[in-house]
Amino acid sequence: MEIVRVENLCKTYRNGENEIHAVDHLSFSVEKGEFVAIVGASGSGKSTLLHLLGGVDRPTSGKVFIDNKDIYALNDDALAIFRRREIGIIYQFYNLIPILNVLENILLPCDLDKKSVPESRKQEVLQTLNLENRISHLPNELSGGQQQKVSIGRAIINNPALVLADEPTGNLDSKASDEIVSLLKMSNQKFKQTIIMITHDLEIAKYADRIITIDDGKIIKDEKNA
Amino acid sequence: MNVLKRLTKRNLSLNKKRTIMTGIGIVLSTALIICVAGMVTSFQKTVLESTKKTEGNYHAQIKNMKEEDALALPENRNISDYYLTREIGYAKIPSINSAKPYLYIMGYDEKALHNLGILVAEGRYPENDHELIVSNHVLDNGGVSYHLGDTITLDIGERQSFDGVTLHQNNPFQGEEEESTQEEKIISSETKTYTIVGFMERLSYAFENYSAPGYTAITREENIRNSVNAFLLYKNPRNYSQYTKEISNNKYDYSYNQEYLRFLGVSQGSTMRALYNVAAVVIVIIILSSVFVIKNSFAISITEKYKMYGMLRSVGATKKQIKKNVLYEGFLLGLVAIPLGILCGILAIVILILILNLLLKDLINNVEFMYSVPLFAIVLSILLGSVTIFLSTIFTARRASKITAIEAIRSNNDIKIKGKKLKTPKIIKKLFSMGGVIAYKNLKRNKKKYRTTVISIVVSVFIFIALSSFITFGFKMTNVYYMNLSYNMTIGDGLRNKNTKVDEIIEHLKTISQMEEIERFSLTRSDIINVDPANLSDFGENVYRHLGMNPEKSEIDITVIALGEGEYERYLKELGLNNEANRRKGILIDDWQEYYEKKLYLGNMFKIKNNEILTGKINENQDFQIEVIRSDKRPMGLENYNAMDGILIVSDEVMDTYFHPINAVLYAKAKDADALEVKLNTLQKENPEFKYLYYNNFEKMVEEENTIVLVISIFLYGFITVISLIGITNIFNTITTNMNLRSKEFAMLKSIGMTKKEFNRMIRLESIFYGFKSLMIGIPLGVIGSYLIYLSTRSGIEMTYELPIKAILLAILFVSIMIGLIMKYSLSKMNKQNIIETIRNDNI
Repeated sequence: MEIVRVENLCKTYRNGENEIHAVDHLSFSVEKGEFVAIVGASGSGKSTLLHLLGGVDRPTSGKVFIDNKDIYALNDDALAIFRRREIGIIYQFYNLIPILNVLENILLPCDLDKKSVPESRKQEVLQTLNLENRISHLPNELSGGQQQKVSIGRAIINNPALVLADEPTGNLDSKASDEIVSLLKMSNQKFKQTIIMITHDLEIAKYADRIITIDDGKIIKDEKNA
Repeated sequence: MNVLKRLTKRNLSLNKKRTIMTGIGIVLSTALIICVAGMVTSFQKTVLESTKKTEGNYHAQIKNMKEEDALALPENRNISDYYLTREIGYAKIPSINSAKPYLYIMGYDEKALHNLGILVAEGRYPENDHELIVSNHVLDNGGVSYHLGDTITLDIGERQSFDGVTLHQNNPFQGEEEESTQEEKIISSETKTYTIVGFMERLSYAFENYSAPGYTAITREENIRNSVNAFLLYKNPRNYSQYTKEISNNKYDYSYNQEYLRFLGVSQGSTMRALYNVAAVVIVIIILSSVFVIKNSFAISITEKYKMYGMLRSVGATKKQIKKNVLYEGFLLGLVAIPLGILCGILAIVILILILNLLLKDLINNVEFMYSVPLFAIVLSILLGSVTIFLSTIFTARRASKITAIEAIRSNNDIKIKGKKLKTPKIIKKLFSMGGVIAYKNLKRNKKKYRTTVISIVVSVFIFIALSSFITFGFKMTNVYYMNLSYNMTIGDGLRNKNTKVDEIIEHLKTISQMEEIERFSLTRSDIINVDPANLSDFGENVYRHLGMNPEKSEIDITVIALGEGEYERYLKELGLNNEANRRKGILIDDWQEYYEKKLYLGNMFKIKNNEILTGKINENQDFQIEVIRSDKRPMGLENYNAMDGILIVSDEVMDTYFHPINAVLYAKAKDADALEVKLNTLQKENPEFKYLYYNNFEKMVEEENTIVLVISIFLYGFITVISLIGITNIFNTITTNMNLRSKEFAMLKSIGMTKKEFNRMIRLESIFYGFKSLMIGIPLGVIGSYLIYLSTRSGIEMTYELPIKAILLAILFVSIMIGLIMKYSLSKMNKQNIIETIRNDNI
């Protein structure tokens, strides 16, 4: 089943005289339960693509369908609500709220939605992430890897249609990186979670089922990982 | 609880310093609002209570009503209460005051006794129609010896003039002169016996005016029916004049309790209205300035939480949720700070009034300051406080809700400026080196944050200038009303008998002026010079025209006054004219003001210039010339002397040589005016020559005036202190948080090798840049504000506008010192910080 469909997506930045096509007429689709890695050099437009997929930025033209919904046809507030229910985002710099503890940070999207999370789901996620003993810690009391785990927890807590990860290992050493990507892989397999991950690290990309390579805002390679 | 609410609470408790600062801002502004409202109501209550005591608690009086109309009063829906009195009549008593030979007997019903300004000095109120309470004026002025418990028998009748007209209290005694054939008499008298059960203070002017011929004595009567004076209290005093006219129905005379209505704020051009206007302006200023203080704190908190809001947005918080979050923060603060502010405000009023009562206990009789904080003032301040908080948060809330996830993720903050605009004039680099350049770029780049600081200072400067000119005007207002007099007694001799010669009067006054109680005096003797109307200035001609007179055909008489040698000498010295030649000249004081068609005109009546010769006629038709020196400074005794055609001060010598004085008054400054009064009283009683002596004691009046000035200054200075406090909280808040926000950037500058000295210099330059800019905006605004205050206070009293230069200079000094101190404080804190830690520290 198709969960993401991108049609003719464009994002153009204007810098004085020059137009920069960060995303240039991109089209592709992702099946439910797929783990896709998008790789490319710095400035290739992969982060812009991810923001467009996540509904935090708006495209110049083109459409993005998630779960058959044209997300850019929604107004800002509807998009925000869609985002907290259907999309989980993991950032390179974690973007946790410093004054909320681990559990509160993880539950944030549900709380915003005024939805309660069943205890079993909470435990399942905490166990998966190995954070059971740290639920009342504040972000600055955790290591980088642990902080990233919290942001993974936040991204997957309410079973979104799609998890987006923007260089999730960019700020971590190789051991922690392996752990994080393994976790992503595990949630992909265990919860059938669709994941799109951006990285410039080919070693990390190998964990994915499919690797899309982008350069100058265009797909130059799209291959299944063996 | 909702996670956003939890977040807000945690943020508030984590940023304690700012929460407290914002809280203080709200507390202060609520407290101020309630203070201003409470002060006005307390002041009003105080003056109302004291006028009720002395003038009586009624709105209007209908005189001499017939029985059927008086009986209709209880049915009138507009009347909330009424008291009845009637005139019983006059009885001759052995008074030594020949102008006041009667006891004036009134019958009051019980309510009237207690509500018409009777202050019992000794004894008690009468309880039936055989008992009397007598004005104690009859003892000390009339010299009649009555005692408590005395039974007196009086022949009471009606006063009738020689030609048969009935006379009342407002008709002075007729026929004082000994051989007068037109003396009034008492007719149809009736004998009655009363017991004196009490003495009261002399009634106010409305009941017994200065020329009233009878000392008031009151008995108690119920069921007053005939020729009733009805004193009315209306349910809605606002319509007092309409109601009164309806009741009087063109049949009866009526009068109003002017003082009381004035302080109720219902009569036209009333003092209370001017006060209300002022209070409204002040409250608007408080709200505007508080909105800025509080808004600033919220704006700063948003900038700090910028990233957090972006993050919340990216995980799916709606705009509405973010907006609600900011408003909730305001709500929480208000929930604590507004009640606290109200408590503080009420406490402040109570303390202030306790202090006032303590200070003024000995100064004023019968007046005790009362506090009154009506419910409406509390509701008003809750409402206004909430409005203040709402206004402060709503803009910020909107701004916060507009933060998009992508902006926060890219963390490109609110720096939205192009490189071109950051170009720095070369002169700055030359003058201030690199530190100056960075300081300048900082201001340019960070316009928004910079603007909040500038606005805070601008608002404070504005308030300071506007309010200090308010104080100046306030003092001018009291000075117009309560001018300081250089004398405390005026003494004159009645010119009632045509046989009395002015020379004789002057001799009498001279004798008195030698009394040891008198420290300083001016014995003014006056005559007139008749001058040609051609001497009038254009202004002077207009004054005549506005009075409906033809200036060319009017008699223009300048009053010539000699002061007595001692005072004349002193006056010349004061003017710096102390030399022999000037003693032959006349000093012309001809400034005049008229209020014509709602406009005030000020000017000089004559066009003659300094050192020119004034020509006129004296002693009926004798030519006279004198050189004139112009002045607007008045000598002792003539401070309030009003003469439309001006006054000319001359030496005694000139007066004696050319003039024949037609009037003389002694203005005396006595060490103890009350003692002098007693002495004059004895002199008058013992020496028939001084029988017609009259005198006014200004000591008590002046005392009251000074007290009022003192009270007003206590109120105003208290107010300006709190307003300045708000300003300081405001500026402290913005500057310190601004510095905090930029601590990372500062740490970076230091890490790439900026020395401490360079760094401090940079910060100092930055402060100078925005101090300067703030003053450039704040001062003109303050001047406009002070002009508005002038306009609003002017509705009570006329005065001219003056630029508040002192306040402007003070503001400049104040701002420089304050910015300097706050900068120093933040710098010392910043220099203590560890560079690396600051750079690393993402969590403020």
